[in-house]
Amino acid sequence: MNTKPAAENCEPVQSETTTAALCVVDLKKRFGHLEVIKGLSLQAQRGDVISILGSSGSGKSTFLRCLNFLEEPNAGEIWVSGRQVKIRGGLTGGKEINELRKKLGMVFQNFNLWSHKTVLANIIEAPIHVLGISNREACLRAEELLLKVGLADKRHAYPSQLSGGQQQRIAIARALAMDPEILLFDEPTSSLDPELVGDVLKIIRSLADEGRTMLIVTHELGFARQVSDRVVFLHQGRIEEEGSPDALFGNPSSARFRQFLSVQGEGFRQ
Amino acid sequence: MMDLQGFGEQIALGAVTTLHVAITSLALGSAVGLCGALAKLGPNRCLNRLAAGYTTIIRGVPELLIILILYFGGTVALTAICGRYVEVDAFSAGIFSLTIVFGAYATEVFRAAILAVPGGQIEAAKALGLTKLLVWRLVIIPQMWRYALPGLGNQWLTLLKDTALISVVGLEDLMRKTSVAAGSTHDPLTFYSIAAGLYLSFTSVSLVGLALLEWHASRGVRIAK
Repeated sequence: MNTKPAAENCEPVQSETTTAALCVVDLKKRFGHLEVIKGLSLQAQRGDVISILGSSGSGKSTFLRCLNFLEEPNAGEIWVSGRQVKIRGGLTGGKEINELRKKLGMVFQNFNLWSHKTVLANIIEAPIHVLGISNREACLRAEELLLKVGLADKRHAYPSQLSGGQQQRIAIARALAMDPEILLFDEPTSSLDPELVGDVLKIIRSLADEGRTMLIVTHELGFARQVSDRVVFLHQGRIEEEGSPDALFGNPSSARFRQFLSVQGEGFRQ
Repeated sequence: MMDLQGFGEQIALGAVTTLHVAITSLALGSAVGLCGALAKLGPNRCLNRLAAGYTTIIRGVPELLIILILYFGGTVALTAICGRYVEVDAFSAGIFSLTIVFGAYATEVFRAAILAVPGGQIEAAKALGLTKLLVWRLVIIPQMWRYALPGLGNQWLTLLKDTALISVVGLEDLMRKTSVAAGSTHDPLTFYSIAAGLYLSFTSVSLVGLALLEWHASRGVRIAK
């Protein structure tokens, strides 16, 4: 199952559009003696929405966190828009990592909004300090994003005054404010009350419709099936099964994925 | 009006010296504490041990002894270095020893405060591409400040009162001026009461200031009632 894309595919091709937005080759991550990611390869073209499924401990969150070096990978290659980030096991330069992080927006399970800053400040800090745009411009852009996530009236609120769903929508706006090339979602709805999940999923779906490149780690199987171009099922740090959502959900070939579906998908029947 | 028998001005001068020593030690000691906390939390083993040794020794020995050792030790050390007898003045020795003492306690206060900043918020800042320095400036320091304030406030009150100990090496502070006045007027109760009142007024003003700072630092925090 672990087809390894040749590194050539990752390098820039003459026309920008055919270069993969993200290309991961044989990524490995160990915690002490425990190998969590055992050589994982994945390619995303521009505009691809890829859902990553797997039971807990399968390495899906760790994989996502390796992509922006929140966990430093031990081996492998990461290419973003034809540019490689060297993995040197703890030695990768801070500057190189920050350049990579500018291109990868991340949305966390627990929102992680800065609790001492207002909604507006949460959104504008990174564009001002990392992209170097003016305060005014950052505020204008933030207002647009707040409209988009439907929370324009909350600009001066503090995170603790918002519901979980609202916080997650602000966190999405904060990631979008950096205008990243790829969005990484790490279980964006897993800590939300069921009635709040819908609002967040609606925004993620609208981002998919805009043609954004996204990797989504999720347990929302129905959502993954509807929104993804491709679904990847991880098991013990390897890709167990990969394909179009219809092929995967309709006719899963791996016994493990079938079992995963039957356990996870109690509420998911088409 | 109380009869100060001409000692009023001397006591006022002493009070200014006390505040001067305390505030200077607070500023320097906070810087030492921040460095100590970073040394304890950082990846460098050597610095970890150095900071651990510092806090263990300073917190484990009475302040009065530390002041005496640093005062006489400082004189011996400077004499050895300069090759002739140099006496450390009580003012510098006082600030130096109180900075060392305050720094040790502040190290622990800051260490706990840094650890209390939610890791996820730091990760979110990193994931946005903010540099290490900016993560500290925008996310860690404003929030650790909030966690550090109550502990730091406690240490400040202790520091303010510990300045009285420096009078043993001859610092002309509020305590010493008061005891001179008490001795020469044979009216200790009046003068010691005045000194107590002055210390109490300094600490009371500090408490109000601290409450304001804490209120300011708790923006966006919901407190369970």
